[in-house]
Amino acid sequence: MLKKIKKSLIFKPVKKLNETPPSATEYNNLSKLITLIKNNTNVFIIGQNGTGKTFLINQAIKNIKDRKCYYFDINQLIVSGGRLKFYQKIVQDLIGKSIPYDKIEIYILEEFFNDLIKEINSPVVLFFDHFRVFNDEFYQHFFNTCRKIDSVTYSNTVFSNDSKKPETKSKYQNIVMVFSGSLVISDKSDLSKSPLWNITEKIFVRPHSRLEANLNNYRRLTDLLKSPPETKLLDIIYNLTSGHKFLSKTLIQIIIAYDMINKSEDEILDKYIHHIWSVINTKKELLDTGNKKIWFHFHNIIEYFETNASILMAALNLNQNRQIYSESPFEMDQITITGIIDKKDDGEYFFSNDIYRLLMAILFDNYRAGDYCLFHTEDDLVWKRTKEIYQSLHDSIIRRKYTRMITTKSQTSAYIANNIIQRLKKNKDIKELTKEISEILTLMYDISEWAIYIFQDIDSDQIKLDENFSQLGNRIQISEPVKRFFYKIVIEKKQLNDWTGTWQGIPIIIGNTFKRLFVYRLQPGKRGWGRIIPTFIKDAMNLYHNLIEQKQIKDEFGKLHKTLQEKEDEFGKLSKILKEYDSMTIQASDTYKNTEQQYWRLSKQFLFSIKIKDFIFYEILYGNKVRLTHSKEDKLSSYDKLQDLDQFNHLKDFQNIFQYKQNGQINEKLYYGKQLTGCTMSIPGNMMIIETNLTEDKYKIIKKNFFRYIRLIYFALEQNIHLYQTSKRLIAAQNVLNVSQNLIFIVSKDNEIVFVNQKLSHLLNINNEDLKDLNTLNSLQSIYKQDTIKMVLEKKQIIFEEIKFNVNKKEKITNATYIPLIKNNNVFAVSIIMQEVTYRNKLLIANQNMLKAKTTKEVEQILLNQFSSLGFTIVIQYKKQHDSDNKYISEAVVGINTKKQYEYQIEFTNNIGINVWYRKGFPINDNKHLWINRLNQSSEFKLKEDQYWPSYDKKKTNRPNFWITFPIRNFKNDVVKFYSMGWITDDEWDNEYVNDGKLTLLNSFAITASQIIENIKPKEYLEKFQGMISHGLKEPFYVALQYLEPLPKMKYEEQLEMTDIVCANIEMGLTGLQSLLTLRRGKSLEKEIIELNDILQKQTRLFEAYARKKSNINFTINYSHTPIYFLINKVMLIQVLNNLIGNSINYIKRAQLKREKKIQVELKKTSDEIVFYISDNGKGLPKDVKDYLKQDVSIGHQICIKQFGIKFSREIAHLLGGRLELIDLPLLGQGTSYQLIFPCKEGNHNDT
Amino acid sequence: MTHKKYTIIHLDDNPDITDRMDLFLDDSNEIKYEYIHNIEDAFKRLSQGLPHLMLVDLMLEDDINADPGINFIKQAKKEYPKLNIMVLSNRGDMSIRNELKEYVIDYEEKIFRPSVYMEKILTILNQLDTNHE
Repeated sequence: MLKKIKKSLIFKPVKKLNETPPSATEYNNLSKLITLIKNNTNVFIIGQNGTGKTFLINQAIKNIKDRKCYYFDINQLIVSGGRLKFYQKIVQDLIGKSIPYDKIEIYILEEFFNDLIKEINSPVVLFFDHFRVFNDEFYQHFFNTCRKIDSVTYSNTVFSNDSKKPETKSKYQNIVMVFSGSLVISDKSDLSKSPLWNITEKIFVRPHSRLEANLNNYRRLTDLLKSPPETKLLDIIYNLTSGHKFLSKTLIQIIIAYDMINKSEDEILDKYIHHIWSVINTKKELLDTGNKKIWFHFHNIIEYFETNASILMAALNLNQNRQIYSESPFEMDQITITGIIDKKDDGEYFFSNDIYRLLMAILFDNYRAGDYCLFHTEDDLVWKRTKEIYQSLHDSIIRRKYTRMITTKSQTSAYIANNIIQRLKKNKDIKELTKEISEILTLMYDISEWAIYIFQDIDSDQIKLDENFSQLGNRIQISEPVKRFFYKIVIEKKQLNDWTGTWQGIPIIIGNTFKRLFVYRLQPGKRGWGRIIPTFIKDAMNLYHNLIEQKQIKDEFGKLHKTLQEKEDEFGKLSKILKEYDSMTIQASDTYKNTEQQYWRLSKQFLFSIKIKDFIFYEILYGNKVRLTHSKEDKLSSYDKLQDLDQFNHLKDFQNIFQYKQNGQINEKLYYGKQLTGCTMSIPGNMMIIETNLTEDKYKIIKKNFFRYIRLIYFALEQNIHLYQTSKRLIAAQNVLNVSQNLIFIVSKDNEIVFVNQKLSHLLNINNEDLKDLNTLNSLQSIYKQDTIKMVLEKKQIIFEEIKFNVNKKEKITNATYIPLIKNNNVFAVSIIMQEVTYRNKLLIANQNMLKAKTTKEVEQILLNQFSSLGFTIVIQYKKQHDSDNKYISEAVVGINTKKQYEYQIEFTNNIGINVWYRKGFPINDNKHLWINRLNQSSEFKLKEDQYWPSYDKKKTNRPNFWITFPIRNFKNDVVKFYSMGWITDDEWDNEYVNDGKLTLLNSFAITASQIIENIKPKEYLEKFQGMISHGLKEPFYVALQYLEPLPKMKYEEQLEMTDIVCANIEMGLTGLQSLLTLRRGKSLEKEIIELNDILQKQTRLFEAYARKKSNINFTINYSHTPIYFLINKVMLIQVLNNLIGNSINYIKRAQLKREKKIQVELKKTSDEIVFYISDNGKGLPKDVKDYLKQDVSIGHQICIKQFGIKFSREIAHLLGGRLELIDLPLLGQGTSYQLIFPCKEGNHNDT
Repeated sequence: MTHKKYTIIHLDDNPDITDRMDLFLDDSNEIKYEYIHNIEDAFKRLSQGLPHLMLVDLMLEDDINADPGINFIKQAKKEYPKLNIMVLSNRGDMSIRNELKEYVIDYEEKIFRPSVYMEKILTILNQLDTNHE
């Protein structure tokens, strides 16, 4: 059956059926619903998918006259826009308010209910249809919202939480809610426990009885057949659908569509399932309305199995064993509600009709049941079942397939693989994990041989098999070649196959360290799963490694950890102080020293408090100074003055023991009746030693606990010392930051500015000492980027960002680095270091951006932006209009809002880039002097008086009096574009933006910009060229393909003509293919010496045949009398010729001419030119194309050329050093003649 | 002359393609096939009445630019919202497909034989018919 279905997925459209009137049961339900609504009672309509719940609601809406009804399709709203959209719609309809997406959540929580009371003044009914609980979060939220709607609009009554039954509400109740759904319970939630259950009366909708179903189906069939149907057909329909309304309706549609009226029950069922299967495997957009409904119904069913593990298990059990075990984990009601599975009176479960039974059988046949289970691998029972299914497949000869026919949601194998990894994560025991990974490898990935190798020491060839895991024992001999294979993987750090191609090795790298090598035998011909094996292995091995590492850590530190846990209360005091440290911000750094002392003191108090009454606490400090504290007779002495270690011989000896010990490692020594216990600290030279006068026996008794306490003190002190060091480093860093030439400030985690360096303070004129003053920086929003600071605090990462701000009306642009300052793995402050972007930097960045640009348009945009950021307040981009004069017109304007197009006549005489201009008649005033003074006497940038624009007028203050022109030159050094940059008012230009040095930079920049644009042009052409060839390749082959199919009754002459067309097109395609092959990277613009007659002959031959035979065109070619050798790019030349000749043929063959159609191609050589003439006697070119061909190609007008590839051919010709021109008087008397001209000098082959 | 059930118009600048389709569909009892080679004529033809389906090539004016076809489709849909358009082009770029999604009912790359074309076109025409009921 399945194979048959797979072969053909063609199905017929189904006709729309008229709605039948309500049946007796439906009528009863309707009456009940309306009565409940009238009694102000909320209702929940529960029933299977497709049993007519929406029909019931629609009928109710029609019949309710005294209340306004609102209908909400929950499923549709949630699917199309999510829950916020759903709430938006409710608010919009009920209250009439349009609440923005980001505010709706808060609105629903707060104002919504007040608005409801205010706005709903007459009774309303809210219908919430298609209730499907797959999303717990929404379910909870929505139910609570409904419950609140119910309680706030329930006047004069306090709703009881314990209420099990809905109460009849008072006459003031304004809102009644009706819910309707087919599946109302998700895996984890239970509707009966939800608040909604208590406030609703239930109406259960069941499939029709045989009588009612037959009556409905009789009506439908009579309508369609125009005559009453036979009882046998009605019986078949009922038997197959069990009175299910939707299935009955669609079954009738399908019986009619496929003309199955007289067929047997089995045939009808087969056809029905075949149709369903085809529909659900088709894109829903392609379906007619009837089939779309089928698509949705059955995709919903499939979605149940992919989202509800219990239902899946039930269906699997029924499918396989025809029964459900009593220990089945699901709750029965949820299954009957879906409608796929039903319950008999004796409690036995069964598929509710044959249609669902057969559909499930197809879905869950042995090949795919396992895959369905994998959707729910997190469910323990389903996981067990999954492995059983795969085990049974593994034991039998049947092998699983790797693709699933039905995929509605989360269908990728990667999703399932991720589920499996999640499942593996549940294993906390190494043995269980390895067992499970082994099972997955064997059962699901069909890998039966693998091994894991540990490289104990990569340098000394020690490779060890991981016996816990591997599945091939010692069958792989680690011979030299195997070893080389292994080491290659280790060194290259990537998966590799061995020299036989049968084994693959995957390196397991954790962090940046190589940990293990996984080697397995490849399964030939495995697809699908096979592609994700390496990913799975890496993830699984990661888990394996983590568990091993965790175990080691657990073993090692378990005991210590336990002790610390036990003494947590006693440790509380120290912990509290630690916390206080953590919350300290940087400005409190001065107090650290005192705090550190306090900390030591508290440590001693702590020791004192744990009942060791008599001790001396020595702190041996850096430089062999000793500080000591006594505890005697319940009194703790204060610090003694610092003393030299030399005075304490016993301490000196004890200290020597620690020479090779790790910090924190506790040691003891009995010294003439004194017990010394202690350890070294992480500050070099520092030690803590506790001297007690206990006897050896007594010491032994307390020793264990005593060590623990010392360890506690050690950890607490260490953290303190780290903190102290951090603060010292910060103070030192502050000193460095203060004198830095960068602009620096530091923000604490409480968002307070705690430091501003000298340069920034000076720039912003603030007092670094005054914290209030510092925090005025917050008001400088342009500097203080709260979001970025927040991100650094959260992510603990360095962030780079540009910060722009204004000082004295001048814009400063800086490259800022946000550095998190970290202590105890927490960010306690963020340092913002701003490096000012200089003029040179800006140009450098612009230069880099231009180099990345792919089109001239992009470069132009970068230039416009860059000039604005350099401080010019008005920037205009001009382009040349004609080759013959010096007129330029504006293309883009930045700085003023105008659509006006400016014309500027200007002559660029000098060879350097930029020029500096002032307005004609500008009086010699201070400004001009200042300008002149800025430019050195020796400067190459002389101030020039403009002759084009109107003279200076002091009343006109809103136009530039000074400006700079920045030309873009082509490879001939002609100015094709230029930028005019200036300042709208005079006072703007008097700034630091322009001086001799900066103008020199700008000048270099202009030369570079021109070069970059010149370099981009060939790339642009090349891209277009590739596009053209690609199209030129596809089209002829496509035409040939079309003509290959023979037509019935075709004459022999017609067949011959078709063959000619096919041949000509394949030849055209081959030419394209040849061009494409030649167009290798880097080779595309290379030149070679070719004989032009030869090229012309080869290229025109196919056109000639095609033109003559297909289109009756008289095609003539006149070659040059002598051979012409020429150095040129062959591919491009051929493409231009093909384009021009091909276009002529296309153009003329469509033309309706009375005269004979002619095309003539000619090649001529004069002393300084080579010319190809291409002529036709068609209707001639449109005017816009003619005008275009008369313009200079380098001006590059962006007009729309409605002619095949002429624009492009012309540009390519230009790129080849030639030109394509139109001849005014056509060579054939009428039509069009082009000449493709390449200049050359006699005897010089290189002159192209 | 028998009355044919559907009219389709094919806009393609390559006469080899339209000639072939014309030949093939000449004998069809159901489809009346008309072809047009340029945009101007296409608008003229549409002003005389809408076909059941219009097939449109994208590379209409040169070999490198799909804009003419795209612009035609947008303009035609603006002027005739009820016009059903199917793209037949050898440009299968995802960006173009997405751009035209709301304007066309189907998008096919030119890889079919004429008989496959006809089957596909008939299915679409039948579906359009059903949707209109």
